[in-house]
Amino acid sequence: MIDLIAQSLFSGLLSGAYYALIALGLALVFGTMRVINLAHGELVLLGAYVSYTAEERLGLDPLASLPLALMVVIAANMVVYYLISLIKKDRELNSLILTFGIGVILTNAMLMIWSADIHSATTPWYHDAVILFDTLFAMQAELVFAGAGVVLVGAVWWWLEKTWYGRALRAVASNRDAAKLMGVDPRLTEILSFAVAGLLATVSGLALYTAKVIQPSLGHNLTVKAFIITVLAGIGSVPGVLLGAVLLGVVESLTVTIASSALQELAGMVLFLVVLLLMPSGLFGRAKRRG
Amino acid sequence: MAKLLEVESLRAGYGSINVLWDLSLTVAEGKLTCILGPNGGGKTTLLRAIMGLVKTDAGSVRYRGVDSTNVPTWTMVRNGIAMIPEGRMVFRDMSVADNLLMGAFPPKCRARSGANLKLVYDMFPRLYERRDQMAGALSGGEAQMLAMGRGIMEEPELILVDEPSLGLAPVVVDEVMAILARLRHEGRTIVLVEQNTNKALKIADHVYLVRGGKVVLSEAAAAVDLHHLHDLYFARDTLNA
Repeated sequence: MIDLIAQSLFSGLLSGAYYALIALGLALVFGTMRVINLAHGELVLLGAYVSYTAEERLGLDPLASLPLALMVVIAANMVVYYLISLIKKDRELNSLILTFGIGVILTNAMLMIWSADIHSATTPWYHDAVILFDTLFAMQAELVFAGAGVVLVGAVWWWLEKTWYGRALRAVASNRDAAKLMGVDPRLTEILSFAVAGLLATVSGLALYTAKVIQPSLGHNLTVKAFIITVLAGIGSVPGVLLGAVLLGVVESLTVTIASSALQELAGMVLFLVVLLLMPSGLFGRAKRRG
Repeated sequence: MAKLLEVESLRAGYGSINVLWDLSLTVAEGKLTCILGPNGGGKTTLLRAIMGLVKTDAGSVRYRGVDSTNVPTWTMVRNGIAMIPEGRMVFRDMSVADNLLMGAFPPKCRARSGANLKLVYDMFPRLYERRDQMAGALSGGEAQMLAMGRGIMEEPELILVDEPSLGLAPVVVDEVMAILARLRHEGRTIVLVEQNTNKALKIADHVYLVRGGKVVLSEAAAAVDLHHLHDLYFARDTLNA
């Protein structure tokens, strides 16, 4: 039983790091633009499908298809940004409707192009098992992308805290007019944040394709997961994303081991509600964001 | 004396409400120009219109002889103009140090940002004590100091200061005025918007009185008759007319 729990905790940690990867792009755009990109999950899937096509048609290793997937997903996210920038009034609310619509369109476009079949990476290396400390099992892909998740969370945090453009991004979110007075063109920083979100979505897509399975209708689930983690984290908190994601991963994994896999999604939602009841502004949220 | 900034027949406002009515004034290089006037007279709107934060409907703004009407704010900043807005416009959810570093965002200011940061901390020791705190936690006076420090980080040739004495204790107002006088002696051009007539007059070279979106008085500071100025300030001229 101890072994089982240990394995379950380990798997929870790994999927937590992978969840962090998915949520980070959404959290970044949410934190810096107050826009919830409801098409984020679909963009993750788009990256995964580009990688699938590259492997299927060109025989490319999924990691080698990263540049191609990056181009497609970032270009798609630029279109999303352009459409959002056309919104003149109540951007926070209207962008929800817009990005939800984009998500539906993307899902159906992917259905038409790639059909509803389930796919996963065929390169065997990714699915090979690794055994740590004689007891803990993981797929190589899981380890690679859990590592990527932790590294990218750290990189985004560093970027926002310590670089000129990262600071400018926070400044635009904090006070748009004051940021202009500092010589910042707010549109440039927003384009940058969408580009980085696109990059994060692409890496998540590769993780999804190599460690799990892909199917066009999954996008919505991914967005919901990412959104839950962003809110758990506290809006605008990057380290919170990692903590929130790991918490969700571990709770889901333990629920599957101890109770039943049928309760996995429920456990995530219960966690979400409990945290919001006890800490309404999230794990790392600041009490008063507006004002 | 060279004209650094020329505003001609400027008309600007918010939506259907017009605030500035064909306002004209000039700012001489190396001088401290003071814009006085009652609340709601259009002083802040004038600064915002010069900086491109408010669209102008008519008239022109020329900086160093070049037409700069409706040029984007960030371009004006990169051309060497800084506006120090009232203290409410600090980045409330960023640390004091990050607020100051934002002032050095224009690429040409970044190399010297470390030295300038030290300069600002020397000028305002309070900011150094509170460098890791969120700017939203500062008192009104400290936020005003932060806004000034942030403006100094921009290494501007022309500084537009919007009511720096607003809500400050009299001792702190003296301090702020001394710092503005010092910046002017360093060769920077300053436009000071104020309601505190007496203190502003002591450091000003030229004075404009703006009321109802128009210039009603333009005089060298030394020539200003306070009694006459206050009559205009409180619109006693129109009462007697």
